[in-house]
Amino acid sequence: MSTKKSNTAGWNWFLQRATGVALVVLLGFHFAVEHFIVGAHHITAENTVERITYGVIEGDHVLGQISINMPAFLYQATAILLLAFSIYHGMYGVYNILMEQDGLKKYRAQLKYFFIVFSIVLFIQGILIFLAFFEPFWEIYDPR
Amino acid sequence: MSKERRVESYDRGRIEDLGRAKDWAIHKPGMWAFYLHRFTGLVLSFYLVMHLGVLGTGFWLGHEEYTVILQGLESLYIVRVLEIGLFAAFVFHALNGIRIVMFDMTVGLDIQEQLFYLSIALSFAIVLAGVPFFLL
Repeated sequence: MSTKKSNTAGWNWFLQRATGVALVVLLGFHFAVEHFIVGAHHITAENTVERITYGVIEGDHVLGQISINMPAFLYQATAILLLAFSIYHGMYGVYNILMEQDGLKKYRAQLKYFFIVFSIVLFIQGILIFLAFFEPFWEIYDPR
Repeated sequence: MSKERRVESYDRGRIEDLGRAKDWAIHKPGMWAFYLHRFTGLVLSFYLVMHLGVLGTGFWLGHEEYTVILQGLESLYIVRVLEIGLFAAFVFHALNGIRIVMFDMTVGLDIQEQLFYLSIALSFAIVLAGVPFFLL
């Protein structure tokens, strides 16, 4: 048996802070793109493909006509990181709030595994959404 | 976290709990910051799950359905207004989160109340500036 003291809680605490700081930037960027440049009611599958596959952000909303050509991999990286960080930060945060309720403490193990599995399901769903608008994949997969 | 961690709380009974409701009046700003951070965090987490559910139509149903569903939702005025609420939750949670990280680094501890008021004021300003983007 290892004599080293487990420091999982310390790591989780640190990751909650680190992902939080990153999310200020990533989610800020997400709002800027989807709501401020494109405008949520102008979002279509077509322009989502342009953003996800080619990194092309185009919009004609309150700020007028804007067109930004980002390196595709950079836009894709922000999307995947936003997905991973928001799920981790959100689910760990909710788990922590539940764990502070005295009545739920006896279900700690079950809740932990529920949140781990649920987070993985959310992440997979997010990746599938990403792939749906990633043209090389969709050209092969598209069920129609 | 060790499993034998002791929790110093006990059941005070319904009547005493109700009596403690008046404690709200004496909550310090830091306590409000704590509750608001939790509330906005729960809102954002709930939205994240719904968001991935709705966007999933892009994969599970196809591109045309995705566009129809998104634009259908966006045509509802209530959705636009709720999005402002979502934006407000994000802005406050982010600003107050920065405040918390500052405290972790022992920065600004002696002006923590002022920093809470600042995060509220900045949130109002940013959200107000953002309103046209959601409604127009």
